[in-house]
Amino acid sequence: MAELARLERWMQAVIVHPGSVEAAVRARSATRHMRVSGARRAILPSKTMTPLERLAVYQDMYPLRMRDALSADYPGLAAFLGHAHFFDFVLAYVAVHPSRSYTFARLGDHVPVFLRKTRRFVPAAFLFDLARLEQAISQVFELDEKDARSATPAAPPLHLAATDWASRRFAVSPTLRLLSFRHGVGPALDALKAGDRPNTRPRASWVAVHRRRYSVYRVDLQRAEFHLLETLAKGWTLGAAVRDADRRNGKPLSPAAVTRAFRTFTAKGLLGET
Amino acid sequence: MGDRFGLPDLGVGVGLRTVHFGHILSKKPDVDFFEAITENFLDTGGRPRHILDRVAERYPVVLHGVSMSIGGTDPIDLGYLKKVKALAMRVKAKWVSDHLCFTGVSGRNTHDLLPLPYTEETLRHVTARVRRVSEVLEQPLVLENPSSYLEFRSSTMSEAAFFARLLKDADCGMLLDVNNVYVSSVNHGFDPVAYLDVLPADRVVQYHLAGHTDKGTHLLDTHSARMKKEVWALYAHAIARTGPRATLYEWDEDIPSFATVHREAKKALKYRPPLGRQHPIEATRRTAHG
Repeated sequence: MAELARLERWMQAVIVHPGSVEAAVRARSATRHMRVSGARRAILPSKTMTPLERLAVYQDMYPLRMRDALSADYPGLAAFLGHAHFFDFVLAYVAVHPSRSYTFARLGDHVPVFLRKTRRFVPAAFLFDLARLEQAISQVFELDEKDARSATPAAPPLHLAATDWASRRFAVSPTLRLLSFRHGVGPALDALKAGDRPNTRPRASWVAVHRRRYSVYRVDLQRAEFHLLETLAKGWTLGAAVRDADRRNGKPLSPAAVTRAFRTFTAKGLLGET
Repeated sequence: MGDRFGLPDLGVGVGLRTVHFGHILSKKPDVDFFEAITENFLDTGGRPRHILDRVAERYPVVLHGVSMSIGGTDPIDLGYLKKVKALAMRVKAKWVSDHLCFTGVSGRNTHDLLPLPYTEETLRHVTARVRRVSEVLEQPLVLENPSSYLEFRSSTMSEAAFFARLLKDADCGMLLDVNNVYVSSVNHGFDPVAYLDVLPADRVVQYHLAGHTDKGTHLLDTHSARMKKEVWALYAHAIARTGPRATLYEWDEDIPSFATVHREAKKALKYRPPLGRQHPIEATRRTAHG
């Protein structure tokens, strides 16, 4: 098995190399398994192709496969960067975070952090936020339906009696993901899907992502709504959640605002009774 | 011509693809069976799994994997295999197949079907791994011949000879992709009919049919467009040797409507009888062999 293992490590080193196939067989990652002269002898030529040209067929396909997988999970990022820059991004990303799973679903796990750290792709802060939103959408898409179904929220009463509302607790959809951003990435994603240029200037935004009956939904929230949902999700009573939202917002929420928020939460299936 | 491992002839099927989910659920097309790409349905509890469950309620299903890396030199991923087994049980898969290849090494996955050198060392290695996988899955593994774009000088036998020995030594089944045979035969300059004739007919469990693309210097297995007439001729030759076997049409690039893919698949009925209407000669032979 030693010879087979050596050949496999060599071939993989060559095909994942981002340069030309000639550069790939000369790279240290390949020559530690096979010398350049050995590489040319290891593969038979065909009537139409040299050994290295045949090897290049695999090398050429590798980044295309990675691009297709990443663009499926990050279509907004791919649209924003455009074909050439997105391909550059894919090459840079998989060089640092190659697939280590049997499934492509894990390939993009490090995309947001990679974008923030590398700062090579700009505007980095906007792309970090955009990638976080797209990652949340993918993650919610993959969740186990039995978990989602078991907590499909019942609609809470919209007109709570004044005497009991403060002590009420509510259940949130277990598929719920609450995200806050420094950019308006919800509308930006919509713009990108429509083929328009998004607004990339900093503008705080709050988003809920959840799933109902196998479909993933994004709900753009006001800051107060976000805080209210966040604390309700922790199991706080509505009274405590409202007080906390008041404190974080720096001003009290009006009863009308709380009612509006609840209408949004229930209409979107984010919230139910415990 | 008898069937191997008691696995049934499932007729003529189509690969289960995302773009056709809606059509399949709403129209319930008259398809003999579906083949699902295993990895697309692992680790997901959402819509893909829901669709597969609904499909499995109505149609026979087989699982076809792309990440087992049976020729790889990393340890077999038992966690992955257990998930495959659980999925196979859930959808009552008639069998589980993957490819004779390696997909990565040193913990990486290139997600490509990379070729192996056909040597005695590789044969021993793959045989042991197939046996282990079959133990874990508690059913014989079925392996597909991949299309390939290079050959290793160190190979001491042809791919067909390697496969013939592997099928016997590892006691596994074969998913014979006739388009892959054709693509590799052009790329490497061998006789595709001779390839087919080397294979033990009773080990062939399933056929794959697909289209390919001529890149000028080589053929590429793109699963796009319609299958070429030369490949249909190979299928005709192969199925005459093996008798009717489950036959599946793959279309993965520029995927047309479900009806178009299904129509292409049903061209196989020119060469094999429809399900449930077996050729009398085969029926006689089956009876004669008990």
